[in-house]
Amino acid sequence: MDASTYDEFGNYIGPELASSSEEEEESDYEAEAVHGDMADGPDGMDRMDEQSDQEEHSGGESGGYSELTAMARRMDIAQTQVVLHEDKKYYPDAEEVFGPGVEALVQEEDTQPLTEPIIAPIKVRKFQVDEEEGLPDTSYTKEFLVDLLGYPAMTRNLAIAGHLHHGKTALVDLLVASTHVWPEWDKAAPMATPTTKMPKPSEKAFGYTDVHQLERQRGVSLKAMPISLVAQDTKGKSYALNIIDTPGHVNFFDEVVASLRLADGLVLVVDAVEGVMANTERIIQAAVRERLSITLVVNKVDRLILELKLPPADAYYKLKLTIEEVNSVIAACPLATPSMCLSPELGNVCFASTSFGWCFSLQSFAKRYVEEWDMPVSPKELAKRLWGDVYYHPERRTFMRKRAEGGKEAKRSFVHFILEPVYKLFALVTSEDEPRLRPALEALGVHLRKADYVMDVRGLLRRVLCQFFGPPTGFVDMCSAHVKSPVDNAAIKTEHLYTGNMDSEIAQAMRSCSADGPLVISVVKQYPSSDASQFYALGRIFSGTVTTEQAVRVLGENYTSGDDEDMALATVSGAWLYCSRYKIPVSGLSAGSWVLLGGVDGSISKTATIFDTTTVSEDDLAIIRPLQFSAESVMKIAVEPVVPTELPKMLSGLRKIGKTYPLVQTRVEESGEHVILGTGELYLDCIMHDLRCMYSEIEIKVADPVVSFRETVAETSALKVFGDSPNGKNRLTMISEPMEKGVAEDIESGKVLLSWPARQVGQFFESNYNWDILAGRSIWAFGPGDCGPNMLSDDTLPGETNKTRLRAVRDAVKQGFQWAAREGPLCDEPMRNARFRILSAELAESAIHRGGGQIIPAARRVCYSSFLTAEPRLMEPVNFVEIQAPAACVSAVYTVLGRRRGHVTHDAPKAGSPMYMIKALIPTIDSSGFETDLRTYTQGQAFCQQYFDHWQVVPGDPLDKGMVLRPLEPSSGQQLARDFMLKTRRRKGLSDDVSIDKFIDDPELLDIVKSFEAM
Amino acid sequence: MSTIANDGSAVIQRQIDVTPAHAPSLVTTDALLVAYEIEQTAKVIREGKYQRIALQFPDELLTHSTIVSAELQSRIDNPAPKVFILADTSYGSCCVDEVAADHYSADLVVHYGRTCLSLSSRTPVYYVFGREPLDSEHCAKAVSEKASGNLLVLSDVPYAYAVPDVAQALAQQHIDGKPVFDSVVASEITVADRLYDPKTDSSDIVPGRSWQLPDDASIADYSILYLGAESLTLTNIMLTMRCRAVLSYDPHTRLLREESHQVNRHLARRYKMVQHARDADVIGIVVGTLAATRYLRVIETLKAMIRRAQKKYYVFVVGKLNVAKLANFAEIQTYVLVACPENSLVDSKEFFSPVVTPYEMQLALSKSRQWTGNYVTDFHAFLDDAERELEEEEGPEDDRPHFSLITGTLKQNRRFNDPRQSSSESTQLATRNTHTEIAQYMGSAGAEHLLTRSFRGLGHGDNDDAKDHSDEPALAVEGRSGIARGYDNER
Repeated sequence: MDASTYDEFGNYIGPELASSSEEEEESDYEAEAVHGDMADGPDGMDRMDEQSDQEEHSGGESGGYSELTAMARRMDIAQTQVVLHEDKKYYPDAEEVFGPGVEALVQEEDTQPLTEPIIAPIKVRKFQVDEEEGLPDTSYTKEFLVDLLGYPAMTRNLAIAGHLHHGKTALVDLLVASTHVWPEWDKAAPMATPTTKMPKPSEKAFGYTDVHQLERQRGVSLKAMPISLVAQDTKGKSYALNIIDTPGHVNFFDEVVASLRLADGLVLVVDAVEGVMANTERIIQAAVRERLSITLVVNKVDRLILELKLPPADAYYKLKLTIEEVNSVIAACPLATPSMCLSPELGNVCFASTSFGWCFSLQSFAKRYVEEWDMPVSPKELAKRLWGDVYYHPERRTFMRKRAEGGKEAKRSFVHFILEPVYKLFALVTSEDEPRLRPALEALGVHLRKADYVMDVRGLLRRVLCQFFGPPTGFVDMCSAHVKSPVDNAAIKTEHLYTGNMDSEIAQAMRSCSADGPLVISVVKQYPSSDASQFYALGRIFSGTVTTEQAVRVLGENYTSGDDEDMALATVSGAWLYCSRYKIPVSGLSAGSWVLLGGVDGSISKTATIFDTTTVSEDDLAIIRPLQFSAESVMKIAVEPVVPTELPKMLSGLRKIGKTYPLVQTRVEESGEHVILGTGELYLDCIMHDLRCMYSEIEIKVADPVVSFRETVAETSALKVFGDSPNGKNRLTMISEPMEKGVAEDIESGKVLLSWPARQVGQFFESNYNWDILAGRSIWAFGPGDCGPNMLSDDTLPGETNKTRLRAVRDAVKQGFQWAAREGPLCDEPMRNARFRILSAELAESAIHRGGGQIIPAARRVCYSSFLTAEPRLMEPVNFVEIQAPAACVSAVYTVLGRRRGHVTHDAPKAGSPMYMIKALIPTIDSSGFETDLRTYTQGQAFCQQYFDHWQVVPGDPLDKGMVLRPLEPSSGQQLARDFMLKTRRRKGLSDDVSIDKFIDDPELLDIVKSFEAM
Repeated sequence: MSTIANDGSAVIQRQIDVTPAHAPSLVTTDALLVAYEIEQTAKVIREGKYQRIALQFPDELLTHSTIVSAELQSRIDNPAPKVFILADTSYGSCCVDEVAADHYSADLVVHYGRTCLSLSSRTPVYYVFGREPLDSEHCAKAVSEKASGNLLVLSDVPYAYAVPDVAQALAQQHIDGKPVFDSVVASEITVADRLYDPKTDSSDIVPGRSWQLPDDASIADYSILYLGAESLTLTNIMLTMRCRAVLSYDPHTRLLREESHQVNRHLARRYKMVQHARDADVIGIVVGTLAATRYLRVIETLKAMIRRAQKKYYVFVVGKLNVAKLANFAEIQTYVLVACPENSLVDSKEFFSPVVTPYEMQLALSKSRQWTGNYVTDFHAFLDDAERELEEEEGPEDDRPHFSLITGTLKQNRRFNDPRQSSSESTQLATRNTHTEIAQYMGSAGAEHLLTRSFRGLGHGDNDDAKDHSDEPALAVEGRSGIARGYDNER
């Protein structure tokens, strides 16, 4: 076949079929060859093939000899010359064609799809924004910062926290912008507040500490990120600030808790319009628990002016209300003291509009006045008079306490001196154009370039205000005065956190924050490198100095002095100051500062305590307490790789997820599924992003979110239930009953510990719950674990039961109870709020007959049977929801809640704003998708935040076989408990039927139990 | 435990629930003769000139044992061989109880009833499966309504004789003139109808079932039809075969079921156990069979694997497993059961520590191996794999903690018998505590556990029940040796 008469598309291009003159053909090919050169490479080659056929007439097999022709031409060998077959060189080798160092691959057939590049580009794994060229330029030298950190008295460790979108990251940006060269910031226009207008991506200023891909995509902080910088106060004194910027979304509350551990003081950021929100409240409570000093930044003051358009006098009341809200939350905390009260004239409150780039305290504003007008008073004295019921009479130029004295002329000093000038400035900039604006601004000392005047009004306003207020010196004033330095706070922090002996050498060094003491670092968070291949550990140095190449001991959360299993040795491969987008390498850092360590993360799951290997003897070691979360992870998803062989990749991804998310739990359930437990939808969504994109790079299947359940009892057991051990020589009798409200929570939060002496435990229950003193003392165990919300107590009477023998099997009974409490009989979920009382025990005489093998299974069975006779119930987690919606949407909110078994607990307008605040409870299992639903229903006007609040009994009896569940129909009301139970059992591969028969051997007892059930 | 303490009357009086073998027709001796294949058995015995013959009956067939033995005895009279009945086997009745047979110096075991088909290691065995009725036409009809494509026919042992018939019937099923099944493959049981003698038969006989698939086909292209009621055999087949679907036809109830979807769930639950095993530091190897060939090699391989992973093992022989027996050893975190393929899958939900199979243990101990959903219960396959792996993976593992999927945290494993710990450490002086126990136990897991336990064995000083026993430690005395029928010193 003459392939040459067809082009590469198979179209006939040869001569007309009638005449087949060779000359014609040849010319044809030449023309084509020229054409072919212009086409893509492969096409061109094909053309050459064809040509060679024609010219050589040597190839019986068509094609393939093209190279020869090509070469022949190149080498100028005459076509007619006779070349012996063996002398012929058919192909030029790759080196001749392409030059040295090139690998040539020859493939017969195209096996790769077109979409796949032949040479894959080198993939840059980068999930974070970093400074591109090393360290950025700053207003101070890095050496100065590191040196300054060597003086803990000149250092402040701050955690910036607040509700979602209240401007925490923007506040950090403000500090960064005043110290760093940051072109992005200068270009960006301020972002409008989210409730008014969605910003265009182009005009959005990215947070300096939002470095994660997702954070930038979504415009919300997801990780707590630290930054260390040097800033000056109003007097020009430099302080080294270690700041950690925390996420505001309630799902990421765990990050806040971890950050508070690092810090000495909390900078609470509150939106001037929204005021105290759900998360603000939780943050305050957590900070008080961690014994931090609290300072306040009232942010977004511009919203009062631009959005609500409040007159200055009303704006004052709104600001005052916001501060009072914070104060009342602080006062309600159990550990709060009156000294924690916040007020601007005390200097622990700042006002800010971070999106317009300013932040001032009364003192910094007063200083401006003093300097401008050369007043003969100190700024401090003036500042004292700028808040509260202090009025200024402009005519008389005096301050007075009562308004009446000054008559109409007198204005509140804050309004007169601060709000009115700010309002005027806003009004001036928004209403005037350049010719009139420029002189006015120049008079104020604000010099702008011509280009600035043509910006849109928000950008211009920001420029002006930025220059007018200057760097946030007032903020530094506030922090330096009201947040304790690491030295001053060391004793408080040590006593609160260290679990070891307070008189030991280590504790003494920690209390004095000594740089020469033994090394103690508390690691609370781990950060991935920007390609997510390795991890760094961020910690606070409590004592000593860490240097690179130092050998250290890494103690995990389970370390106790008797059990050194959870200890690993490691070498510090690097130490840095972590500044979100860059890391400053340091040779050493000393007590009081934060440090990012490399090379130690190998054995750290969540938190760790690091000691050096040389100075401390192993007996004195004790860990710094692990983080205590008030929230619990209750929402769970099951994951599975799409390609089963990629399971190892997924597992290593899960391991890394566990490292970077403080509250996440990953484990394998009885059903063999890999589950991830998280705090909420956004949390799990971010985990899935990280898992899919950063840590595993595989496709992963996700099951619909479900929740954990708990099993509990509603009544006291209908009768005393006994069970025999397998050898029939031991008999335990128990009943089960619900505990009083609050006991479970107290046990969980560690308010009562069984490690206390029995006396103290007895007293606790006597004073708090009116228990018999003996009842409290007879408690044997909490479970599951040491702080599980169930209880086992020994209520046997010495006359009936041989107490000595009972004591001998105590451990075995406890183990059986722990086992039962861990896996309840209903659907293998943990028990909650159940109390088991041993009423009597007949035990074998000799120890060999009451070994663990006999007692443990028996105790477990009796726990189950007494549980099942005490009206077992299922419990589900319930979320607290705070919804912010305009008045018109409130009814829609009720509708959406109603459809998801939710109900409203509180519903009131927010003072000084057009919004309604609705507080509601919604079962967690129904809460997935609630937010989307809510936004759809209210056209995006309602905004909600939700977090796990408490456990609640699911309506209905899970064992009621009378409930008919129809497939594919949602269950309602009394059917729910059985529905949940059966579905959970099926998911876990358990049989549908829960039967007490399995746990009771004695036929008579079984009959009695059955008859009770029938009743 | 109870057998140590009482006089044994409880065992004798204990009632066992036995599901009667569903063969009510077997009332006449003639029927028995056929069902128990007595003529053939007698022929085998006569040909082999066996002298002491043990007849092993499962509990449910015990009622027929006397008649069978009498009939058999009457048919073999060349020079008066002896016939015994073996019952109440130590482990599963599916395995040949070689140890019991050895007690009577039997030179042939005739095994009746259901069997796991694991081969004996010393004694020749003749298997009598019995034959239960099966309507192959009905079966083929029922199957052709539900399945198509390729089909492999497996069976429980009583129906093994019918497999070729069923396969033929299936091949003849047509719908619209076309055969329903592209290919039907019948399996056969390697030891059916013939004597198995470990001495003469080459060791490469694969126990159990065998079949020949067409060269270009793999088991993944086939559906499996299993003849027989729900049993461990079926579970085992479902776990180990990665086939398209499993159908089971119960000839007794004449019902066809589709079984496949339960398997994944079952496997997934085993996966959790593997994770448990991974976390365990102290492992108990439980011997669950004394019959299956190579069980000793499996145990040795397991020991080697565990030693290499620097974990601690103990070997237990406890007879039939129950919860109380294993719960006596609280320090053991995972048990691995070495038993015949059908008995090794123990649902250990009730057990205090999980019980896994050797294959699962291998998964748990190996760093390179991953859970793929493939499953091995057969010793042969396990050994080939494990021994090769032992050779490949050399050297102690690294010290890095592993990520435990049970707790979701990193777990630092304890290291027992670490070769790197030099012996010089053991010469250090150890401090004594108030109980005058020496605190250093040289990495002995059992001794460490003993410290935390309330019952510390007999004759221990601070024991409450010590009144009967002397507190004085006594010299260990050599006990009796031999078998219970007559110890060596009684001869």
